[in-house]
Amino acid sequence: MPKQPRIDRVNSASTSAGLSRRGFMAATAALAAGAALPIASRRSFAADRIKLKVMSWEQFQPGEKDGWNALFDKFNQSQSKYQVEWTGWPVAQYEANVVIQAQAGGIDADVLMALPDLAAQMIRKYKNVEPLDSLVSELGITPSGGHAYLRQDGKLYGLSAIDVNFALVYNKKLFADAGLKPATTADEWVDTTAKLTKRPDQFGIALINTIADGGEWWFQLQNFCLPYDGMWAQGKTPLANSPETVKGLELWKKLYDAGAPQGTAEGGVMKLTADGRVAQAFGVNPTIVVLKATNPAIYPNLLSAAPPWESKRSLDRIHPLMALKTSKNVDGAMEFIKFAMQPDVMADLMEANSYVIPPYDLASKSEKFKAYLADKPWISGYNEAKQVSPIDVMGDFAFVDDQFGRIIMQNLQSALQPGGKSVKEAMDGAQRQLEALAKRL
Amino acid sequence: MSQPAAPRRRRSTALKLATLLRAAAILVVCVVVFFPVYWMLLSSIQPSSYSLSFPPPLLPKGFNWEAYGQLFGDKPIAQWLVTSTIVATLTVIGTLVFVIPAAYALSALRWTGRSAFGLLLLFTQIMPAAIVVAPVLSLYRSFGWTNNLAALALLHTAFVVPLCAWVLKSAFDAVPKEVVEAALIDGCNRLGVLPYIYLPLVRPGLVAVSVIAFFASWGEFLFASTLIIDNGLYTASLGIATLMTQLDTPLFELMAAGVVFSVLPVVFYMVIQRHVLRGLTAGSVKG
Amino acid sequence: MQQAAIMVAGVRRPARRSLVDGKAFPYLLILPALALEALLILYPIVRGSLVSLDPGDGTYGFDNYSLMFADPDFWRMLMHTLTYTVSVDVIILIVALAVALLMNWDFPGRGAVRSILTVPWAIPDVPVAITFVMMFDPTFGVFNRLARMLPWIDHNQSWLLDPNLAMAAVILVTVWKGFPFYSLVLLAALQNVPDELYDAARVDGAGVFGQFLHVTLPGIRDTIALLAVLAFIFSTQQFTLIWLITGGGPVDATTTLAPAIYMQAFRFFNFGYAGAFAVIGFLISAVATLAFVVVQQRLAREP
Repeated sequence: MPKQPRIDRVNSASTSAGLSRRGFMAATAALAAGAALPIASRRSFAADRIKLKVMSWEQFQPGEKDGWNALFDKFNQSQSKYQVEWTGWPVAQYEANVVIQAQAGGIDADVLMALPDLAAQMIRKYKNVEPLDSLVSELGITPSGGHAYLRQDGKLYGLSAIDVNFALVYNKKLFADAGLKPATTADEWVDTTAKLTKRPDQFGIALINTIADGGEWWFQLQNFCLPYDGMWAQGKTPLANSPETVKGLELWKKLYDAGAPQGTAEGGVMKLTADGRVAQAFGVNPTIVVLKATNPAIYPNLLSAAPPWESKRSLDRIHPLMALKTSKNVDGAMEFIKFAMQPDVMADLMEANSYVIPPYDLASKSEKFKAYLADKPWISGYNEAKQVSPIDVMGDFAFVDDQFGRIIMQNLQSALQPGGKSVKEAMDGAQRQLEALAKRL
Repeated sequence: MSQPAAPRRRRSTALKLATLLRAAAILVVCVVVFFPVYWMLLSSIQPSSYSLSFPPPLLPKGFNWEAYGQLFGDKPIAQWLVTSTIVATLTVIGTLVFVIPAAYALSALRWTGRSAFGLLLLFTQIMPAAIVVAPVLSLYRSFGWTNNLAALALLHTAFVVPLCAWVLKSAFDAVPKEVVEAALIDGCNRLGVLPYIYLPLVRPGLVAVSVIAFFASWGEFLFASTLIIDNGLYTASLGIATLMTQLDTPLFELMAAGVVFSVLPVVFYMVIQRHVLRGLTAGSVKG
Repeated sequence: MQQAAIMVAGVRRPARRSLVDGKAFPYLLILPALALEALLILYPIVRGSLVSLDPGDGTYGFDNYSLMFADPDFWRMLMHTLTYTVSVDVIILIVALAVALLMNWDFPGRGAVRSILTVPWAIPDVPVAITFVMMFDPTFGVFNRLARMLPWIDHNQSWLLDPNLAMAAVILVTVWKGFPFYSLVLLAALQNVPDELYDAARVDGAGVFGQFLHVTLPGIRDTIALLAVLAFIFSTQQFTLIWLITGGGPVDATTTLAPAIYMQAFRFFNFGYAGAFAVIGFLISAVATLAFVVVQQRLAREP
């Protein structure tokens, strides 16, 4: 119940003020008043304010909910018209339930936080979100390049709440023990992975590799068109079997063979990594937050390095805040998003939640954020990585990202079977399926 | 009178052998069925490094209650269990209310459209959940029934009524016609035979139906997740799902949750199951 | 008894009597259940099915169906569904019947044993799936430890990464999780087979197997037929276990109807296409159900 503590915190502030005015009262009376007050104040608190519902999955995220709750508190205290509240589901059911609500007549919220695929659907298919350009100009910010996929007909429909990008996370202790340095080229990468693998006790790299964890697998795998500067698609033309992309996937397969926990569920891979039994991972910055939450002792050992290829390009995925057109309080939704985007507010959120990539050039607007970035040793690799938006490598398929990924994973899996196809043959198969998909775009 | 002793002894050894075989079969079945449960329990109580090693130890090599600590420390487990118990109990009551008259009509009365109704009930079971869930939500919204546990129980009832009507119908079918006819001749009418003749005789069937309804409601997730958004009204299955977060699936906590959340239904079953057994109801079942 | 019945059931005797004895009485009995099902299940099914006629642009037609029938993945999915459904159906009934027969026997500690055998049913799907994924793990899984005890297996199997083994694995888990329900219903049916029939068969000299064949099976035939249909219907709808254990993989080896519908609707956002899948699934199960009724009625007519 993430929203409960937040309200209580607001109430406890008013309660203690009330008690100080009644300082002369007998102890028992004060206690009775203390017990009654929160209820009374909650009622009045809720009565004269318009409720704003923010639909999200973040209230269920152990490492992130506190930062967001603090932001909600600040918004509720900054004005007296609205009271912002959570609604939503844990991330596994999130997209399905948002879509179910949309199908059932409308999303019951004012502000929607969306995963990238869902955001694209909201803008292009359901057309139920408001353009935010007015906010951008009021705030005087320039949204980061990753926002490209949130634009349609020149209008911007979302502002980044969480922006994650990929880099090489590594366990500096395991590297030091083996006398190795994180790789800077693809060949070195396979080499260090092999050298750091002692199955079943230690693994060179945490690669998610089962369809059951398809979401996370594709999330990582999508980057592997980049090592040799390939693309998954251009416009409506899939490029799954282009030489650059195939080479990238062959690199993935070499890493998989050299040192991944093959067939182990994502939960198991994360646990192994948190237990210090995995040397490196190709992951987003929240990976470090999750590892820290699972095992605080591992945190000091974690560092990041740029993606180990020349361009240092890696994907960056924006999870935007959007204002729903169907809301009765569109102004309130806009006001909340605007509040969240203020430099100081955003800087506090990013620090609390260990976010790295700001929605706009925050470092130039907030000294606090600059200091925070300088302070975190594990950030360097993420900062060195050059951000690529999915739309840059996916073409028109950026809007059917999951379906595209499913086709790639299924075909790649046929190359992982013993005596299976070559990666090239597998991707020829994928290419045919993707061409069929292109006709339906 | 003077039966030779040898065949009798042979018979009793054969009987003993059959008993032994049967006992062995029961043992094997129990071991096979219980092994995954044992594994869940074992993995949830031993340090994860043992579970993530090869070969994994078959007996616990140490104890670590962290998974349970995290589960009970971070989450309102008791509240979820109470909520699930309420919803499941309401579902059982609702199911009995709807299903007893329906099963009676299906089994004991002759009327036009009877087989069509039976078939219709089966058709409702062919419900592709992913397609039905949005229309159900829009229906519930128009009634103002979202975030309402009783309304959720009513939906769970609707899910199990057809199945339970069929199960209960076969129990009604087994009631000897002579008993019913005798009661009707005695002056009991068609409504009177239901509480006085049928219900005592189909008690095992009623128990089976209650168990089915309870378990179905206990485990239901998709519709609960759509209709119950208020975290304060979460059922156990919704609560468990909150353990799985972005980038992390805490395996051992989930296994601990599996252990914790299966205890109540099993206790419910243990309490109620002896009524299914013939030994206790033999007299009434056989009329 | 008569007086009590009157007290329970009504106030004015003549009116009530005509109601209870009249032709409307059975319809009154089924009315609540019928209304409940019509409102909460049948109406949403119809509404949901109509989605399949909408290709997404608001124009109604059969585009989704023509697309579907031309899609080789759809036909593969149907084959997987058939393999999975028929296997689960047959295996789960055999297992459940065997267990029910064992439990229908009076032995000390049967209460405890029967409770143990109900546990799989009681555990929520998510922990079940996760436990089995751990047990099947190619590197750390206990199934490999057990398999390696066999003399001809000398290396770890990648159960869930091999298309055939993965299908077998999800069938195994489905049977494990589902059989207690079928056992319970079969047990209730076994209790209804009159003892006198067994006594008569014994007098006729029938052995254990003969009694099973000539008394038990005919006595529970209807229940088995009903459960076969239900097992068919339920396994075409099995989603959570498959989704969490294999995600429909490896490649697409365990992508059956319910995961396919879910994927199209909620991952790929193709609601209309998912609706078309669902309608086909509905028709398949409906045909199976009709076949059940026809067979059952033919059996019932036999002496």
